[in-house]
Amino acid sequence: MRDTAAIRRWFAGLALLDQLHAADRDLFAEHAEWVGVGGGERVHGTGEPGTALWFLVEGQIILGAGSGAAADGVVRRAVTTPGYPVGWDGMVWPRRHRWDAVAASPARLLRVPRGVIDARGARDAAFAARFFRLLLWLAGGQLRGQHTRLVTARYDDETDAVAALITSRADELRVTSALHRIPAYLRSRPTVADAFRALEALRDGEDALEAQLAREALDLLAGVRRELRVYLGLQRVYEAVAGAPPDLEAAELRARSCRALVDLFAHTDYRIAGLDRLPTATGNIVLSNHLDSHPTNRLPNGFSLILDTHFVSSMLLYRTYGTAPVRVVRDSHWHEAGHARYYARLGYVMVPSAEADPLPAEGRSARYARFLDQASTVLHSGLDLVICPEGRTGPTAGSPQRLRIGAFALAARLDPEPLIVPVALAHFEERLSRTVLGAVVAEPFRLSDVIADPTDRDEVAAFVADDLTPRYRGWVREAAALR
Amino acid sequence: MAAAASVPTLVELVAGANLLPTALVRALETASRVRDVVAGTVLLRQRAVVDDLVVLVTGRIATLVDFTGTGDLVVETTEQRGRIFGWSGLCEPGRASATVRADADSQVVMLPLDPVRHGPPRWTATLCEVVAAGLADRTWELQQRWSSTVGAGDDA
Repeated sequence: MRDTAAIRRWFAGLALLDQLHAADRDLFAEHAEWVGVGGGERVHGTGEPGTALWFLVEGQIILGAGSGAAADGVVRRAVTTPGYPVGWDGMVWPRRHRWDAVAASPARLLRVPRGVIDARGARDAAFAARFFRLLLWLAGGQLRGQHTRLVTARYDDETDAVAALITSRADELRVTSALHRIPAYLRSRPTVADAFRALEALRDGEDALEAQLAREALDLLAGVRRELRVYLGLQRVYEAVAGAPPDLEAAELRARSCRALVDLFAHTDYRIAGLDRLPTATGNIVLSNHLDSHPTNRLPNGFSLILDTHFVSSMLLYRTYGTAPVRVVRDSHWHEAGHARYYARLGYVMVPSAEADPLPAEGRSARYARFLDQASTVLHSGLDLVICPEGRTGPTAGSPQRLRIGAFALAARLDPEPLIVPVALAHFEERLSRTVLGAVVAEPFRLSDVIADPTDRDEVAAFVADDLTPRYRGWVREAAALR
Repeated sequence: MAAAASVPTLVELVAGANLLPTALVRALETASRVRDVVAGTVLLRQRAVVDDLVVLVTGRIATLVDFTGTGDLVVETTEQRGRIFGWSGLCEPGRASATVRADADSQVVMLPLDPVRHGPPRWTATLCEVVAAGLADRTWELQQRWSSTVGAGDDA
């Protein structure tokens, strides 16, 4: 459906087109047609004739070589500014596109055919001068942005890149410009959303230099915006659990948590292999290697939602079976109020933290007995039990570290003996906007199928150390190679 | 400009210049100056008013951007004959967005912008299109250059 009045208002409000007259914008509005493109879909391709300008209404368009690839800020840059005329490069000599324009996510644009612009330009030379001066200004801005990015791309972190961008023009900015505050906003996770709000306000504001720098900063920060969505998703997951009504059952909370996590991981790039190896029914011991959490995923209360095990719970198990698993989690330390608030609600099996709170021998025995009792109950009730046998986190390279045998000793004591399902994870310790999360489900096995006497601790320990651990590291390497 | 035997005409030199009206080409060429400059000569200074477009004939041109607190950093060099510098002279506020410096002994053609500023709007339109095309090509080349060095692990 076409609403010319609304489209006219939209064009009239675009700061980016300030150089044009109201009548010029009305011309665009009168002839603009809505275009919707799906994620990965091309708006135009390299070498194609420039047949139109596409004004970006919402979404993100990647400009550069190689359709479908992610923006890196230099070879492929992200455009998010509403009103940006995608395809201007095909409007100038030789009137063919120099690069691809591909939607990074579903996007909406308003398409103005070239014929309309050419016809007006032929009749009205002053319009043509305004129009091509606008294109020159865009071309100059893009080249200047490219120059800036060539320098700022040396920074490993987008925040540093934006800080450098703003610093590079600091002497031209008003001393009271809100741009000066942006790097500080970006450096603290809870205020990243404020940075985006401030940048969007500056982008649409009156000051041309501030608007230009805000546009460049927003383009540089396309990956950070994705991380912000993940971070807000983490907060929602946490609040869904820690802030739930006290009478809500743990099973329902686990399911809610998994649904929130599925939404969260939708904003990440991930690959999963071997899902078909998952057993047909739940009630299994699911092993996972344990990876560090990136510091930027730490919530304001200091609690880090470790994403790897949450991925196993939600994206592998909950999505497959529709049932949230129970996890084995270490006790909260005295200073971890956020950790305690979160895990206390989920009905997980809690075990002592060997590093932080060493127990005396009799205390250890009592806790081990409690662990066996609770874990057995979970498995007998038909739920999956997720265990990280390492007991500590580490990087993908070399993961898993030493596997402890508690999970295997548990399996050996149960009747019927549960299947053990190894899941290998990779890259969860990296910044989510810069990585592809990988997961490989390996072939499930029963302990009695791989060793003669599962109750023999020495035999179990030898199997785990000499056979399983090297193979597990291979699965992790497979997961890391999923791209 | 065409008077100097070794210097090509504007249409020969600049890609897309055949789009320019004949009268504009004539006006630009009449007012143009050919300069032989030694390495290190600054042709445009960042933030200074731009009065001329600079067209590279031979040699090498470096583009430098002043990063506050760091100083001028070279962000681009080219030996591409016909490359135009000084685009911001055609846009408000008419000041250079970067410093342009001869990186080797070079020959350039200086095209004064006055005839365009005082000429018919069609001249502005066509010249802006041609210069914008050159900028788009420079952007594309920078992308390609970066693209070919990223995989090699070289700090481009």
